[in-house]
Amino acid sequence: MGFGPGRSQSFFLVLAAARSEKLGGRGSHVQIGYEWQMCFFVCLLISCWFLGERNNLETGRKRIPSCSSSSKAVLGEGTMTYFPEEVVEHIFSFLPAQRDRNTVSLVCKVWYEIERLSRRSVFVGNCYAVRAERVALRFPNVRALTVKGKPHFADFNLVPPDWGGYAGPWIEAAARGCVGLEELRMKRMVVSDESLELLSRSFPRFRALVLISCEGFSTDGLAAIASHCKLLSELDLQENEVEDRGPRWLSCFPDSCTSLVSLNFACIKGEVNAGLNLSYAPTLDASDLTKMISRCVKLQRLWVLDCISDKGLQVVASSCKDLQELRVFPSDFYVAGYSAVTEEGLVAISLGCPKLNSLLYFCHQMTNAALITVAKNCPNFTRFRLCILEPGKPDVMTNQPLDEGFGAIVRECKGLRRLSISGLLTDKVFMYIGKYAKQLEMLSIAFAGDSDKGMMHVMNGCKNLRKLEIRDSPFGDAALLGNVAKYETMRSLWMSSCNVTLKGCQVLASKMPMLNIEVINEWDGCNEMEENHGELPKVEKLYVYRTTAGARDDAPNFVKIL
Amino acid sequence: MRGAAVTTAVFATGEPPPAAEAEAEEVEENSTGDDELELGLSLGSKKQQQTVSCRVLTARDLQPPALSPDSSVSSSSPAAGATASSKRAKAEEGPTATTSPATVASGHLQSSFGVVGWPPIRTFRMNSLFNQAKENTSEADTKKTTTDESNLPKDKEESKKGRAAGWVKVNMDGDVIGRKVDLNAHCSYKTLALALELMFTKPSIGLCTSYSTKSLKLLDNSAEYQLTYEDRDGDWMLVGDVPWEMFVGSVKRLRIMRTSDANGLGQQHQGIHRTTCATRERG
Repeated sequence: MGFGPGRSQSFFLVLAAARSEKLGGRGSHVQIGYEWQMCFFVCLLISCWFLGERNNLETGRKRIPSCSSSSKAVLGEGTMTYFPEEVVEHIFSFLPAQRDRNTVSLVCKVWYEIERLSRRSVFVGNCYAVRAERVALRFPNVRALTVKGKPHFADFNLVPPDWGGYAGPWIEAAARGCVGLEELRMKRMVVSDESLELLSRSFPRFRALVLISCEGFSTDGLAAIASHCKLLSELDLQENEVEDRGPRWLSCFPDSCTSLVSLNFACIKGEVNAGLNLSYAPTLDASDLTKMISRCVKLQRLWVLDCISDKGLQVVASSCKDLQELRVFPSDFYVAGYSAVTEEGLVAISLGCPKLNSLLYFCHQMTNAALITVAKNCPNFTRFRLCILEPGKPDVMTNQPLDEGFGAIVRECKGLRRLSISGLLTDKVFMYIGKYAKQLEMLSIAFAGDSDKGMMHVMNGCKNLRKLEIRDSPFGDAALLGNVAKYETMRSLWMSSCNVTLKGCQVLASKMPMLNIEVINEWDGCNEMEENHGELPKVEKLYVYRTTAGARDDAPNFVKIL
Repeated sequence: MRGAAVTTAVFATGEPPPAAEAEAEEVEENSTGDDELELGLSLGSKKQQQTVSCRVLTARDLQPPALSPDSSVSSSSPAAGATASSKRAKAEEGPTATTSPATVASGHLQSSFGVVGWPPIRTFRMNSLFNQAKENTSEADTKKTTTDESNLPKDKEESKKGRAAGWVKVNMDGDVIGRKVDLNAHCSYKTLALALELMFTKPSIGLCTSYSTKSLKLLDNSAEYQLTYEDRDGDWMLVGDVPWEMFVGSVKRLRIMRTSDANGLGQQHQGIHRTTCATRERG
């Protein structure tokens, strides 16, 4: 008896449901329902499998390894196709996580069809990994679409302008194939006013637009959105480069849209539960700031500038026991040695806020001892980003590399998914990362490591790695080619100002045809080649990503796709 | 990927749906750890997924309604102004130049801010913080001489100018690491050239290739290196030919080029791209 579709389908549903149960629990009402539904499904599936088995045994029919057409489903042949499509679709609706939906779509053609037609939300992590038309064709009934464009380091000016990441093809494809679209989220993409105009006219039920770190549009485009999207309830623009052509666009909102522009100066006497973003306000007096924060006892997210100082962080630590996310940005870029926040502030936070799971911390100095303490106090970190402002700076007390400190973080924080490291670091820290950071999905490296071994530790050890971005580190072709199969399991790799050569990239391209290897050279190669005294020219910037779409056709001339 | 592993183990036979497997990997799960929760200023009611109903507050909410979001700086701290001016003196820039901290390299260890893309802060945030710092110092200066009313338009003007030029990248032939310089911190070619010289002739961070120790004399036509810039039209020009304000308004980025490569530059409307760099097709 082979492992036919009936059994595999059942297996999948139970597996998927089990996984979803783990992920679920966002709201308490969902969780209770889940347990009961899980029991129901398991019973349902077992009985269905059993019935299917009995059915086959009785008829003596050999199990058909495929359930190919939906007519069979209607006729009730096969096993799981016992259920009408609507029921299967309903079962799928309990699998909100996209990974699970992708999984069920792989079981057989029937499930693929049911899943794709009922998919409401699609997330595309790399706009060049798949063609927009394909996505629109496959998911015609999508309601919420998220697309990301440029690599993360584009936020810090490391990606030249005109590199790509155009929103146009996505909006056009959706306009043709997904007219029920209600929400569009884009990050690091180039969005034109024409695209916004098309967007505003193509989707009658459109209600939410979120643009983060995008560029290429002006307030005219926003005016189109305001004028034509009658049901718009959410317009979220974060850190975009918008050409300001005046405030006229604000008046384009119809009068009925009173809920949209709600810049209320909220009274802070009430409890601030959600979050506080003070990271654009350096002028708040330190004592006022701490006084205010000490009242926010339910605060979960806090973004501040480092002028809050270690003392201020101690106030946060003693007041905000529910704090889950903290970001401390640098305010004064220049002053040498002046440390508004130091390792002490971080330790204080770790002592006082045990629920802390997400950190972004800019500081001038750090010690291994502090990091080890933080790791012990806060084993729940899922995101840990530490940026010591001076590249390559060692432990300020011992002058040692910070390998042990970060090693402690990855060892203690078993759920760590995102990590950014800084300071003086040798290959040892990568050995720790490869050994312990098993859940790590995104790693950012700058000015770190001694040799190819460093990167290879990561490539070989981090099983769940999806995004790796490296700059100014001594990793070369050996590291690039050390584990080529790995790239198929990752979304992307970025390497800039490393030791990778063109030859190495070409070898990678020949070994892995399903990857796009983008070699980005902003400057003409001629001068650099002279400098290298006959050595192979080093690649300035390298962007590698898996794709089903082949080489993109919108690449500028400073991008070579191997 | 976990999903992929499961399918290969369980789904041994049968017709795979067309290209679904490859696609499924591309259209990934939006893992909750993928991106940070953003605390942006959003116009509109966010979909409430949490049980709490409070909006995220930003600093703008906490300021009195009289202030417009643009003039976000209401008071300047005298300490910042004082230290800024003393640094200015050290840097030997012109007395009327406003301070931009990162251009004052002067061999100081904290020159890490001259490196492109470091520290890893979004441009938006970097610009807004620098503009505020500038407004701090400019207010500290102008408070002494002018009335309060004339302060506001001047600050707005300067912050507008800040957004126009702001930071531009500088690359030097033979140097892998690019830098950036804030043009608003300078008022003349002389100060700019001086700052660039400090940036590129002082060893910093330890990752750069070796430099010549002699002065670059960037504005001198007979020196080894020439300072050039790319303007809005994409042409490469020699720095110094046009009035400073015009330069600031049209420059996109800078390049310190070897004089041998810079031949053919010099006049306006004559680009070097035909002689050294590949012609860039602007599409």
